[in-house]
Amino acid sequence: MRGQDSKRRWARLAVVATLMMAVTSVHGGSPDFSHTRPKGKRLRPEPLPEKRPVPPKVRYGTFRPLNEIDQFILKRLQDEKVRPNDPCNDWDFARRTSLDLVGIIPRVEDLDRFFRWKKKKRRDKWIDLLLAQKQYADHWTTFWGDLLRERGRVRGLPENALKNVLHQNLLDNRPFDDWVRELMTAEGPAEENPASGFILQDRVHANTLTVSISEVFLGVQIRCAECHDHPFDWWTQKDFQGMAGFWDGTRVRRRAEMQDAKDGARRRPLLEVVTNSRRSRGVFLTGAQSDLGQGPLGLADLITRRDNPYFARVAVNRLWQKLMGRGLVNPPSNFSALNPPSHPDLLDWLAIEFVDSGYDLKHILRLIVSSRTYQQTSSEPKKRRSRSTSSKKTPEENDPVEGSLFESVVLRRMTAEQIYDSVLAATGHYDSGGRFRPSIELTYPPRDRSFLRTFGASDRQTIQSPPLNGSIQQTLTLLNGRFLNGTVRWHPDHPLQQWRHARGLNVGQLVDALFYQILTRPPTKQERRGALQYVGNGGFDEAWEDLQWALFNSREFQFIR
Amino acid sequence: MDCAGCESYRRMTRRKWLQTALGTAGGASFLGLLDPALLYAVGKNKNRTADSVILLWMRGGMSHLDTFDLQPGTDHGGPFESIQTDADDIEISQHLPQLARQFKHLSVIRSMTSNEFDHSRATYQMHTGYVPIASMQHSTIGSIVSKYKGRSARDENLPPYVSIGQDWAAGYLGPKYAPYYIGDARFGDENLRMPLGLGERRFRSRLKLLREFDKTFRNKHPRNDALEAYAEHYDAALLMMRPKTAKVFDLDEEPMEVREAYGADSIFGQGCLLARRLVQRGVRFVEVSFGGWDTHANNFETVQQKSEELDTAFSMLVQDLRRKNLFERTVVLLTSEFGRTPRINENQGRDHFPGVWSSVIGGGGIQPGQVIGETDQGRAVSDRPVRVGDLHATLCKALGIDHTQSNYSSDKRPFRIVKEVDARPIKELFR
Repeated sequence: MRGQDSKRRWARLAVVATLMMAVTSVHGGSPDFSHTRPKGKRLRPEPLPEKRPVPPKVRYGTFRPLNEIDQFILKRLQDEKVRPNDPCNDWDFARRTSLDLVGIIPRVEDLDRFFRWKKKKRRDKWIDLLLAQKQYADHWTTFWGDLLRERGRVRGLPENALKNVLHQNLLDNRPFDDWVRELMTAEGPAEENPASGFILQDRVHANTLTVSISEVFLGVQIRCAECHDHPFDWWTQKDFQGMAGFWDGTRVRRRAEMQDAKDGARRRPLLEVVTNSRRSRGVFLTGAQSDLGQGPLGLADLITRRDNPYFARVAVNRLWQKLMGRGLVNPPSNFSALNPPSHPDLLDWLAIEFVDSGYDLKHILRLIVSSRTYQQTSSEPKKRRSRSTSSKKTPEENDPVEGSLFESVVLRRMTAEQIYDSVLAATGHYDSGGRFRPSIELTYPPRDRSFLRTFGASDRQTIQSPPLNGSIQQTLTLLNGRFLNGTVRWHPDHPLQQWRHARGLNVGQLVDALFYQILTRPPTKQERRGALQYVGNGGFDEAWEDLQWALFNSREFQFIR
Repeated sequence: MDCAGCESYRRMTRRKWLQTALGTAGGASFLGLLDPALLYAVGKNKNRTADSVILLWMRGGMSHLDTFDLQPGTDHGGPFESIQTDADDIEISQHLPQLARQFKHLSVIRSMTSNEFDHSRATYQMHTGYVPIASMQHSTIGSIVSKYKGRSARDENLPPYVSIGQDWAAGYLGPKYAPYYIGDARFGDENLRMPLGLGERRFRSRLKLLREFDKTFRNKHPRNDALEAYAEHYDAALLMMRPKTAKVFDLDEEPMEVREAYGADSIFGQGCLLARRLVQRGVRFVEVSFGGWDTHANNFETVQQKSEELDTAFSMLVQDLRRKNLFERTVVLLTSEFGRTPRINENQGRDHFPGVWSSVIGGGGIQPGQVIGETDQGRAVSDRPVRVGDLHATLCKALGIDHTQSNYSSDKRPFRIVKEVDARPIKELFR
């Protein structure tokens, strides 16, 4: 079987890679890596197969697949004798999908609607509802913006040029390959063709574009080869220069001056992309060649072609990683023969599904969130049974890392934007047009020391998934900072006050609504008692503010369960 | 609103409640998870290496020719005279007279050199030891020092790395070693104080609610590292809010004479004072940033002004550290991202010049009175070039850290503390 066979080969290579890294560390950072670079023939990933892998038939105890994803996942779990977690309840489902698809927690009126729907249809209808919202585009603009290092204020470009393009593409659910091609091949001034903002924001700097494009769309970390041959992969400086060569004939031109919008008297330069592909000398990583030449057009073609082994796999893997907390290839920016996928057939199946759907991002997201695998509880996986066969295995085939079989869902901390926008949504400031603006309306990167940056929002200088670690500053910001202490004000327009009047709620019901609104679940008996005791007859605004403050400060709020 | 009486009342009662809320020293922590032994690797080394570093960062590229490497009488020397310091054979600018009287405790490195002309690249290299690459953030020497030295037993509530006036990303060592950032030393960190008008009683009852609401989730996920790390941060934050710790950041605690001696109106001077307060409480690495040295125009006017401010603050810092017996365990390093061109341009300015610049170093067991390196009239290094890696290796040696060790990024790439294999500590600075 191809899968088994290649798995073994991958495993062996992984060990070699580890050894090589150890050697490198002893010898330090000197640029001579001849002793650590992989020997022998270059292993290249195979192109996407013509026919998609058949989802295996699986009967594993009482676990029932909901779609094809689950068939692949359950089969592997059955082989490894690992029991998956139970399906999550509707509350957790509503919260998790809402955060993942539209970036904010569901509000009490959304939940009211959700629970009125028939139990069997509820989840599918909810997914449809979320994917149709404008906030879907808002949320994923941040995701792609982080990867593409979108910066809203670049000299010579209209403000938010690239962001507006990304947002519109997501809003239209435009085919992914189509808009990626556009980003790479846009010409002319960003004023007229804002998609050129992607290459203009880096001033068509060939090395930066090469690192960025290779990493984001090919999942290949060629960056080491910028300065020296890759220490433990096959990439050489020549590969890097080949990729950079696609930009040889492309440059920035200062085309005209444009009037400053704020101050009509001042004029600013307006930049545009000019391409002379005759001078381009690009050589693609895989060795493939394009009829469209060796310039940006050729590069865009080579990247988005179906037979490119990376493009579709990398894209679906990014979505998978974002939703599941761990990539099928992990980390998602390290597609390498030395870093094999945990479920190669599933990855191929998803990638082909993506291609055949017309590179429909929403389609893949829908598939993932509709799966049993995604809809499991996030509680810690049950202890694995030791396998009787393990003694027969070779040492490099150790048990997979816990969680890598997707037998449970990883508890993820919300991103900075998810926390910020969720607080705004729950307290009625999200679309109030008041002092606080949702993150999508801010120009990126957010300023240093802002709430968003404190919580790990990208500075858009380097490509990285935003760090989700806590810090003392974050805690102090939530405990004492102006943002949270300002937003929890119990004013008459507070959505919960309005909900209370609309529904004629008593104090106890309002406490419940508060828990629905912030934690997306009813309070436990004990919590309810404690909260009721705290608010007394409910007449003190401060008490309601304190309750909100405490719920927002709880770890449960900040984590996606 | 902010009358002195209310303020002192607020402080007093706050102290009281915090003591109750957090338990007295040695008592249980608020969230019940704090285990100091696990949380903080308390530095245990009893040998005579330095405990802390204060980095005085001259942001923008300080003109070496008009501060510590004067060339009076040459075409490019400019109008400044040099004066004799109280260290033999060391002369510095006439606009640093007070510092000159402290120079017997300091050494000067005149042969700093690199290839980076650009502010951000050069600054990055000076802080991390690496030139920037497109998709990896390296850790600063401050993060590295905090990792290897750990929190000090003097006040375990304080973060090991504080940066005043300039923030730094954590880099590959992760957020645990990111600097705790203070924008303007005069105002401390407003988030260390309870929200205005909240009152300690209400804050306390809020914390009680929080503890209550945190229980369900915590019990559901008993062995989750990310959640436990959060609990640590809450404990650490609440501990930092303890009056004894929080007031370290409050310069009002200092006598007025001391504040004035550092330069009452000088943000940099007050930053130096805060730095002294922090190392006194055991903080490992404090950076104080002093901007405005990018003198493409009016170099001499600006450098004179900057020098006067620097003179007051730096000389006071040395005296103050010595008076408090902190100097011998604190390395003080003044440096910049590059020097400035010998050529004086048409705007009476000097431009970026990475070929030569100067650093001043002292304290923490560093041999005083040394002149490291020579320049050919400030135009090029003529003897004993000191590269960024050598400077970092020198700091490491003073602190007892092996600079040849490697750390790993999350994607398992090894990074040596000092990148260059041939980098060496400056041996003349050690006995």
